[in-house]
Amino acid sequence: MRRTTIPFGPQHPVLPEPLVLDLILEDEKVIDAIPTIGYIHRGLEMMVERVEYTEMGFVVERICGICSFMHGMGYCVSLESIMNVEVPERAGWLRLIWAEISRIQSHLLWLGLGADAFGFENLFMHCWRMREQILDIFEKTTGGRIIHSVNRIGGVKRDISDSELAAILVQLQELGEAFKTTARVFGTDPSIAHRLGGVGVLSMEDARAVDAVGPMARASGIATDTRLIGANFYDRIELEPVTETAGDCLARVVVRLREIDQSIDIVRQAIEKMPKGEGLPLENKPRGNPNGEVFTRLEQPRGEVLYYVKANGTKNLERFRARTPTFANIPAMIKLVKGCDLADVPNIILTIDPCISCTER
Amino acid sequence: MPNPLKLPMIPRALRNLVSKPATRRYPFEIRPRFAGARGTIEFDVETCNYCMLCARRCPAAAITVSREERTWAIEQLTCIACGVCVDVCSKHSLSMSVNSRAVHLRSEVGPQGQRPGHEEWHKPAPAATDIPAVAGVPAPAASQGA
Amino acid sequence: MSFFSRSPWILHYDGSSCNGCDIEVLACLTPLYDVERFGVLNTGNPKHADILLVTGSVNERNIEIVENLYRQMPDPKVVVAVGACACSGGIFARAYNIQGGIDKVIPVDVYVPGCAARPESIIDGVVQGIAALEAKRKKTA
Repeated sequence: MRRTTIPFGPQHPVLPEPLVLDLILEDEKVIDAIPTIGYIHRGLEMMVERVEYTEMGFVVERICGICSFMHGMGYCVSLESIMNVEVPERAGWLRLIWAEISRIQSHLLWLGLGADAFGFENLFMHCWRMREQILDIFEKTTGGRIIHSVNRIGGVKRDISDSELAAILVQLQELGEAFKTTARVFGTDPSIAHRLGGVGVLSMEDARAVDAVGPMARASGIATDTRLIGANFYDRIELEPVTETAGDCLARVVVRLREIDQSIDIVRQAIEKMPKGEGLPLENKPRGNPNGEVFTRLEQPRGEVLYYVKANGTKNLERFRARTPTFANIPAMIKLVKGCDLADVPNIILTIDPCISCTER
Repeated sequence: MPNPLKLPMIPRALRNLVSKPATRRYPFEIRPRFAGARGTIEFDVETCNYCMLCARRCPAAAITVSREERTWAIEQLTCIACGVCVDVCSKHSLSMSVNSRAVHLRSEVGPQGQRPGHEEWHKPAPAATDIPAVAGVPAPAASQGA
Repeated sequence: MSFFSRSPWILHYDGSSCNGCDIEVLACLTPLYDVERFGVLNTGNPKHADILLVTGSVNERNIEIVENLYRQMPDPKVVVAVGACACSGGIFARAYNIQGGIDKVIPVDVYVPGCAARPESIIDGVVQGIAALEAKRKKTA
């Protein structure tokens, strides 16, 4: 049969980012997908040679505007372990709280984009309307809606007062309640079930074989979650990875729906367990220049992220590398796209929650 | 097979139909920004001692300071409002205001293609006490200046 | 007001941005900000678009794409650079493959500063873009 090549991206209505795929079709079936990268490559890892390690955190934060907080946190945690700086307890808990709120933000954003991709614009608007409340929390507490710039090496820049934390928790719980009606739509609407159910099935064996991470792996039944290693105060949180067994697009939606509730619960636990009071120390300033190398793992909204930092005792780091979750999930996406219908390609691509600017940096 | 008569969006849609619109009619209805929001860097030329620390620490290299000409300049289009310069300024000449920066038009582009958003301050008459003791050394002159 | 007289359509392109400004551009379309009040519609087709919103600092690879999109848009057309990266390269201006601003590649009419640009600023930028479009249309008519 004659083959057709359809270019997907870089400018495509379904995704604001320039993801480029050459889809090779036979009739309506995709038989191969060839990704091309480099459209958002900024050479961010090379910027360590030009930006001092104290300011590099702001560059790392801008790897991606959606998981910006976690990137900044990962960089600071890496440098803290190289320089043996202890983070004050309250600062660590605040980081955890912000990280979980940014997970809620990211999942709401993704659910909206996903709904837009399968043509349910009403749901898209609903999810994004709720997301604005989370952004308000961020702007109140960190000063920025998208880029927060609160992480410093050795702690955090701003404190959240105890009364404000209580108010945030109430707001989040109300949002969780209000979100239930929207979540029910995702779970029970027949049009969504028809569109996503059974599409792009990734079995547990395949998920292991292609090394899927994050919600992608959890939707295929693998109970993996980097938060379980217990770093950054996660060891004091009761946490059960959210898993689904179906492995299709709908399961990946449901995993993220349930993770929103889970994150709200983690914020509640953190606020209960963190040390209370005004004027607690928030930052232990590091002394001297870093020397050594370290790997750091964090669980981002999209999955496990891995940072490698090598310092050589000067103001500029020798090497900085981030392996982002989307990068790890691209083999899974290519595997799923092969053999699917052309009309399902946007859904499959979106359910891995692609963040191209993370991937290419 | 899901029940085709179950339409969970209907109650939500009906509620939206009768409830107040969520839209904030922005140019006509402006919500004040939260205290502590990061907006624009503001500069007080009177207190600056041209220590150049802000220019050295700025991750975006948006600030240029000339100690000889006694000028302090910021590119508003490059500034990322991270707040590092405000933190390091020992003289508290810099502050972060909550207001967003203004939008610039092509008509503001300079004759040699200079981008808009360049703001420059100059302190013409140098008072003797303001000159740092060790001129030319890029170190904060906080202790000597005060 | 001139901006209610016509309905310009917007094309958004992410030229090596970090997602922050893209997401804010999308947020402008959602209920809280809703730029569609101005008759603005987001389109995916450059041949239907009047205003090109570009975010990001444009790397080597993207030059061709941005130029191509700009060429495909019918005259009169307006380019709005959204965010510090699009205006001047921002924090990435020192990266090795970054052009440092969209205006190095295509002519920019409106600069929207901020990192990430706030939806309010983007709305301001779009409204200014509509005014610029109207001025261009008068000139060519």
